[in-house]
Amino acid sequence: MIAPTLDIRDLRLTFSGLGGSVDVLHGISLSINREERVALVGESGSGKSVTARSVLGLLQSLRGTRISGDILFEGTNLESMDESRRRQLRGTRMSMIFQDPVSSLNPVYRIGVQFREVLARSNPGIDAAEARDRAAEILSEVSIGEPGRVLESFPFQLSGGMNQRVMIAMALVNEPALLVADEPGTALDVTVQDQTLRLMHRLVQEHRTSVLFISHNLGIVREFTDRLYVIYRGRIVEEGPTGSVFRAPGHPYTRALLAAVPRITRDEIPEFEADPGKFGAPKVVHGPAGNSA
Amino acid sequence: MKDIHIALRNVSKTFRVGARTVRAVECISVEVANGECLAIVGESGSGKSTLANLVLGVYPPDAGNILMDGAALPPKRSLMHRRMVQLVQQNPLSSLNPKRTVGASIRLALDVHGIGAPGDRKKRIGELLDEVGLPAEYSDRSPAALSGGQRQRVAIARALACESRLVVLDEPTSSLDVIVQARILRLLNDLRKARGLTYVFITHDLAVVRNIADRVMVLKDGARVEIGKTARIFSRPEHSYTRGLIAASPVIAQEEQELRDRLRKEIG
Repeated sequence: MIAPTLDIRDLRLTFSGLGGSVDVLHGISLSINREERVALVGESGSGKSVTARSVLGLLQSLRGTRISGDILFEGTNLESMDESRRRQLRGTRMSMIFQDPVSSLNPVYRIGVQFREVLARSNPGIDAAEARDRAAEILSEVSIGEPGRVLESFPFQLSGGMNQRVMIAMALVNEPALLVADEPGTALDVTVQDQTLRLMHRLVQEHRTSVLFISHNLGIVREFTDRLYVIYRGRIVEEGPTGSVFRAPGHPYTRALLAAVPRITRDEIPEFEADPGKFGAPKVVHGPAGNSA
Repeated sequence: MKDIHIALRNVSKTFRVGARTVRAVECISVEVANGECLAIVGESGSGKSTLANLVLGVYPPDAGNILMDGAALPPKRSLMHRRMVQLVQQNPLSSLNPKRTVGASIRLALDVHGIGAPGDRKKRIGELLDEVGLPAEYSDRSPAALSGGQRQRVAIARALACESRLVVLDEPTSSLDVIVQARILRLLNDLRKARGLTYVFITHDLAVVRNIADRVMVLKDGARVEIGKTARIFSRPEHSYTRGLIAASPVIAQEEQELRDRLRKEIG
């Protein structure tokens, strides 16, 4: 049997500071199979972004962070790996896209230079001409018509949508097994966001990349993911195939969340029952056939 | 048309940026009736924030004029105008002074405009907080001690303190989680009915617009693309730009998907 691309088991996370300690994750278990696009959906403060950052290994070295549980990446336990091996994985076998492309790219280097740096992570001996060709190739895959001009540009010379496409291309250029996308496109205008997400969707399908999609936007999750986990205050409250969860949300929190989303076909503000007292209800797991188990 | 609260007549505004000039708003005319909610939608750079600032009197238009209750706005903003048009912004964390308690922020509005007798203001603050669904004790709290939704309620209470009838809402729920967003939208709608308020609602979120606005004006590059009743704009948009905006909105339900598919087909 092939190991899943990502298998998080009982991940717990505590931040401690001067004011005491806060439990942020209370035992998250989540898995992503090969070529599967999985969403982690939740509101601000639910723990979705720290889960993503734990997968990338970005929190482990922070002072005051206590992590337990296992994160298996292609069958290997990341938590038992040393920091230099983990760093080696980032940008090669696993990569990431963040919400704001402009602050994720270095403003003082041309796009071409940044591409070469990324490519050198998996192929340290790559020369300038080769890096340029490979970068131009992947930029044309994200529908950038003049890759040469873009490679010569600084990030601030490009639009937000263009920067986001550059980020997507950069994240996929080393053919990672896993792409972690944290609120991709949220900072963009709605039409640009739509185009960008479609492009990303097509690309990860073509490159057979597994995706961990972090989002608060249920509409986007519905359109671009195969399966989803709903997180509420550091706990998974519902999981299942995306279509099934949207058709028949089982957990009171998921139901409230879905009911609260404004719709483009309704002329009234959503009316719904949201009793946080019920949000502690047991986790709902949908079977693969679409039945709530 | 009778009962017009605010009217913009051929309003234009140009900004000079270095050697370039940017036409932020180009010859826009629109009237908003008393008690109406007009949504202004558009993407970044469409001119929606400039339009809001013109209504607020932050700067005067280069051409055209703005009439409030039938009278032209003077070129320089008066204290009276500041009182008559209130603003609720996207991020209450930056629009509320972090060093003032909730009560002090609201009180400042009452003091500046001399509303009510000074001795009654404490009581008035309690009433305003109650109106937005917060306990009167919250008066002593600092904004940092409140959730995002509660802070936005405070910002709304402060806008209500001035007893103005016109409120400019600039992305008032964009930074809120969806469950909180629904509650704030409901509060805004209830207040509009109870107080007969007029709203100019600026947003990029079309689903929110569909739920709350009576009419919609779509802007692109500073110009008016189309304007009409909300239901008509969504079911039969006249302009392909509007179709594109609706068709790009994330949706969760089958009927929404069908509308989007139909509009996409019309765009071709």
